[in-house]
Amino acid sequence: MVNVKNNHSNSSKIREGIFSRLERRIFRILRQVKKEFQLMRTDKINLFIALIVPPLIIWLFGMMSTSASKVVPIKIAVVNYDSNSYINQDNYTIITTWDNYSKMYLEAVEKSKYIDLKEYYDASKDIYAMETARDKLRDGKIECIIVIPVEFSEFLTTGLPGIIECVPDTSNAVYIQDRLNAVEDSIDIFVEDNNLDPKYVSMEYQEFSIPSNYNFRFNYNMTMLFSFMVFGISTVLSILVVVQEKPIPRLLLTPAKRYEILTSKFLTYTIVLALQIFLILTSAILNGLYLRNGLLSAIDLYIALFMLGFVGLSMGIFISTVSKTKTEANQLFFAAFIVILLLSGIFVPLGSMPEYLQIIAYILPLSHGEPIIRGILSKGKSVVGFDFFCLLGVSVVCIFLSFVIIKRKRYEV
Amino acid sequence: MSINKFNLLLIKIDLTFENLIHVFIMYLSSLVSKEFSRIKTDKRTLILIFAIPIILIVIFGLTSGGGPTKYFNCAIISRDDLPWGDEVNCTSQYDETFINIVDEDCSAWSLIDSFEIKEDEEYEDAFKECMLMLKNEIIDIFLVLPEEFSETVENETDTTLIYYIDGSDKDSVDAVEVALKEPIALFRIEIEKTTNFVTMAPYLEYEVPFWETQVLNYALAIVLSMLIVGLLMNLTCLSIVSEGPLPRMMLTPTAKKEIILSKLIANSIIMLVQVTLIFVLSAAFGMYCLGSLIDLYIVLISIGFCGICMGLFISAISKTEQQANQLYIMFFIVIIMFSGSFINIQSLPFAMQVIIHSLPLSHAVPLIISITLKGLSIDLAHFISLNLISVAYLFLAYIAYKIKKVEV
Repeated sequence: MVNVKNNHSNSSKIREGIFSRLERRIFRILRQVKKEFQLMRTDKINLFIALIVPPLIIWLFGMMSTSASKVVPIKIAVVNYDSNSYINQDNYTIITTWDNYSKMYLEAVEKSKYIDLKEYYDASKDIYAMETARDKLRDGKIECIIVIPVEFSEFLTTGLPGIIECVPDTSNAVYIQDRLNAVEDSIDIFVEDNNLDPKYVSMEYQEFSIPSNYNFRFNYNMTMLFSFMVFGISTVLSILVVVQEKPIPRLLLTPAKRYEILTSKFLTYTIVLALQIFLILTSAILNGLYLRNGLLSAIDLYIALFMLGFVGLSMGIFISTVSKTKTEANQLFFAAFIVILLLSGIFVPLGSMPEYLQIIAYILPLSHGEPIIRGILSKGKSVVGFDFFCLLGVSVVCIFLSFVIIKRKRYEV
Repeated sequence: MSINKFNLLLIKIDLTFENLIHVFIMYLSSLVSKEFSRIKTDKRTLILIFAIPIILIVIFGLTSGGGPTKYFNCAIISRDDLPWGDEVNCTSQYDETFINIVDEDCSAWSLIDSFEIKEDEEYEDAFKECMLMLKNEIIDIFLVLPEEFSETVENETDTTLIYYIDGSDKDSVDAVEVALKEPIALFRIEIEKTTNFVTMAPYLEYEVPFWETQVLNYALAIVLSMLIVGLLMNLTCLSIVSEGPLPRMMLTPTAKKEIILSKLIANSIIMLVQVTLIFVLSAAFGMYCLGSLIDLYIVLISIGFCGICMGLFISAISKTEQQANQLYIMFFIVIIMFSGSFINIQSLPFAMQVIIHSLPLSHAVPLIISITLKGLSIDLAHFISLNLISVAYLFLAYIAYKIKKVEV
């Protein structure tokens, strides 16, 4: 009976001991979190840059996207060879100079709202027309040359395909499609106006698209920019938190443990991150961000952005624990950030990378940023999915490594 | 005053001026060498300075090793086998030809799946499956060939093609109408029904040739400029704010402009090495340059110089390293977002264009493109603008540092 009582009192003592130790730890961590916030408050400008500047950037981007005109006509020159003499390939004695269709096509070019006809050259009168047009293309005075070939009217009249040649400036990949679309628009007008049947009519149904009352450009670009912006600012927020702090060695003379110091830093910066994401998201919504499922999408998006930011935060603290100096931390951050950016699919499509790099890209966080955000915003998908767990996995690995490194790090007191 | 005396005075002034310059240069060179010895003390940072550009270019170079990809992954549902009109004219001879052309002959299309519908009930299942593939981004688009497809082709009346596209993918939406012309053109030629057929034949001018690494070279202008500006801003953004002995140097006769100048010179020398590394490695990975390589090198140096000036400006206005770092990433994000790659600059109102043109990448990208892809010499307007931006940031850095209160 006495033994049972002793055992009981022993176990309750042990339990009390565990609880009191846990309580002390939590108390110490909370005190350190408070200290971190006090430290942060001493640098108000830093807080301003971290919290206010990102929403301002989004606001500026939103304003630019809204004020950008929807149609920017492409500057075009037309070189018309159609009036030149065409020698029939089947019977060399037949020479024609038909140009009835080219006149109709020119009318269509003038009608198109996507084309700004800058120059017109009749190659039957000016033999150097093409050279002149090419010079203008090289100098950037025009963006595309439309060439109406010599056989254009003859072919169309005899039931053969009429081919419009188009020479767009393709040095900047961003604008190639707009230039081709403008020429295609003129052909569509030409076919429609002149009843060139049979036509192949396409009926388009856009699924998961942005409604017309929202700014398509802003919404489309934001799905790409959100991830790299949130990741960048959260990483940079934390890259100096361990490496710069001088009191850490002195703190180690107190009962504070290393993991407690690191935990307090994680907690503090997670709270700042949560606030940052809230402000960024609010700014984006106020600028016309489309949320397919309303509040539900907003919550999903908040979680997704927070997760992306948390990966950045974990990587930043990891870099901070690895680095010996601030300059080193700064350089490591830049190297890591650019590598992640290059392998994110924003500049080089993931599909065009070799397989082994695609695997690396899928381990890195930014390759999951755009799909997860696009899924939520335009497809109404849930945040929880493959991409979310990948992000979670990366942050867990970074946190684990940070704790291991800080435990082994030598501090001179 | 006699002429001799006047000459003597002039010589004296000249000598003093010469001495002054000599002393200034000596002084500056000692400051620069101090900068280098400071960098040398941190061996890991020194290694990183030269290792980072190499690593970044190697990774960028490797990203383009996967070869070309098909633009549109698609599925086709053919309802052509379903009865349409009277039984005499009912036919379904063309849908297979169309599907085969999309599958085998098109350069921009990749057929993931096709469904031939024999009964109306099958269509619903096929449609749901395609929609799921569209939602999960397995395909970008699916086409539906209607019941009357073959009949209209045969009778040479207007033929309708229905397609469902992922509207959240702006690039696909922009490109689909032109891309659809490829299978239609090949189909019409194959079945020899080309009456009244008008199409476009594009001859791409100033493109990256197909035998060169196209992905790398199209991304080269934006990636190189982003990399160099970012690298140099990163190198210099902590140079003033983090240096402990600087306030103590203020007790010596060293002027603030000399400190800024020495940092500019030291970092420019490092920049020259970094830019050379980037330049050589880019060439090793198949950089395509139609124009003069010297011109390109000069442009890259100008971009690097701009990065240094921006970094010095950030460092001069920041009070703490954390602030400098935050400002650095904000600048970097702004530079990329407003580089012209996401918004067409010409579509913006004038005031917005001014904002974009005050950032380096809006000049750096066209400069690199005009040299590498167009084979032109340096575009003076952009080159001068880029250097003016550098000078403006340097001047602002000097002013900010001059009025900055330094506690000794």
